[in-house]
Amino acid sequence: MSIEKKKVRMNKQRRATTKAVRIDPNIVLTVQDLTKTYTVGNSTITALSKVNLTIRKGEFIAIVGPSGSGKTTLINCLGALDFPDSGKIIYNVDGKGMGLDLAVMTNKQQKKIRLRKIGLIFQFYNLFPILTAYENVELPMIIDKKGPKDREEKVKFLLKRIGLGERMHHLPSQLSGGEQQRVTISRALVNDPLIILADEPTGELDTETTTNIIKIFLDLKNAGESILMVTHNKRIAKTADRVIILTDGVFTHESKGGKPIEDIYKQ
Amino acid sequence: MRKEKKEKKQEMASQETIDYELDPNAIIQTFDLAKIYNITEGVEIRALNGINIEIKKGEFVSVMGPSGSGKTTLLNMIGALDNPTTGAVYIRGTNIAYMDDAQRTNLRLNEIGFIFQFYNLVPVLSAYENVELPMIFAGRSKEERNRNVKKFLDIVGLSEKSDHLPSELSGGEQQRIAIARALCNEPSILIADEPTGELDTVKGMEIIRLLRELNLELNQTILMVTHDPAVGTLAERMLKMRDGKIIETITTNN
Repeated sequence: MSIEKKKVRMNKQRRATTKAVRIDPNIVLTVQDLTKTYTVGNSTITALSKVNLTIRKGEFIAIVGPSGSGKTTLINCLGALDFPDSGKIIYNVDGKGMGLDLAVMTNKQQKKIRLRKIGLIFQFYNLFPILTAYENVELPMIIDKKGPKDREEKVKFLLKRIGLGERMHHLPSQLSGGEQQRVTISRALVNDPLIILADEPTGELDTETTTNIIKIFLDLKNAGESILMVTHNKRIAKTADRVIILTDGVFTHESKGGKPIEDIYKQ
Repeated sequence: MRKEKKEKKQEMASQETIDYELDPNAIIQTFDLAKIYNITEGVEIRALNGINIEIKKGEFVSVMGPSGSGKTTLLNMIGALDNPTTGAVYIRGTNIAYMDDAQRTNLRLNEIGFIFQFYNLVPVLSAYENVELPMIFAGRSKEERNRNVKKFLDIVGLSEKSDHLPSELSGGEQQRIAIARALCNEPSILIADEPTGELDTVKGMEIIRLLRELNLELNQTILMVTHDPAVGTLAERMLKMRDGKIIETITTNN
């Protein structure tokens, strides 16, 4: 058996030990001692080192750090796109306090969480270029086997709400960067996730469009959505309820009560 | 909105009067294809300036040229991802300008397979699900989807990794998945936009070899855009572009 196959089998065995725990029903997600390392050649790089984080319902959290600080690794681990070496990622899966640890779920459970409980937004939008805005938003609902009537109602509602009602049958190549990101936000919301995870959502956008996207995030937060955004842009991070600084895989500072971010850096 | 539609109809009607000479053996034919962008009033950029090309069944054609020469614009026109300002694109004898939205979607799903520089896989879906995706939108049955996903994952050599997410695959592997996805609806033509742009030389050549195998063994028609001469010369025919025009056509010995 190849080493890779062995690894997969071990992973499956490890993940088959899922057990629900009770958590505070007002918490969406709690992360405990999350550690992730990568091996490059002969050296080991620690991308995340014992990271702890709790996100409450309706909170908008920004994690700020330079390139290589571990931001995307964090989003990938929380989004079940990558798996930590150790630590826990406990989601309030039913919204009532039933906590399940992503790290020890079966592949099938992880797929469900990824599809139904997490809305992912990426820097480069990651839209499927041959599908229209409408079809791109519809996609997670099709994968989740939702019926055509539900899909039509939901997709049209979301695209109209985000200001793309007139452009829903356009292809990504016919949309501006800001419009493409709005399609991505709609796609992230389509299965009513517990949390939105956004990886540098304004990284490709100009200042004005960036401001518009952040306004959308604030509207979503005010409508009760929970959002975790990672960014290197301190200006937009300031708009969040809480700002956490990530440096070399470690949370070094956190803002308290809306303190300006410059003050956090001075600490 | 209505005015726009009316104008479009008038424009299409004026095009209809032009008699193009169609070749029944051609998969793709373009006639005097032009794309003009108005930057500000009076300032325009001609991204495409009178392109006439013909690609026959089973051909492997590369389009080469520097950045900004119009390569990607040309692919977007042929792939019905964008509309030309003037001129026409015929895919298997049909002028795509006359197609409605549903027909164009059908064309993009069933007649054309797309491969992109950045792979454009859906990050939350497994390799299997990514390949299956265009078949779902094309309304294929579950049995057919299952059969074709397995078939094309096997052809690109990644059957073992069907459960993996894109983030768990290397760049070369992601591009192979993208190729399987492009082929799953068995399109008339495979369109590749800088398919090796994000890969190192070795991985890039592996992708080109795979495309060449698909071309020789499945008689797959391929139109590929690249800025890399080492990649472009591996096609049977090379079209060199500059400033929105084809300046040279080279038949290679491949």
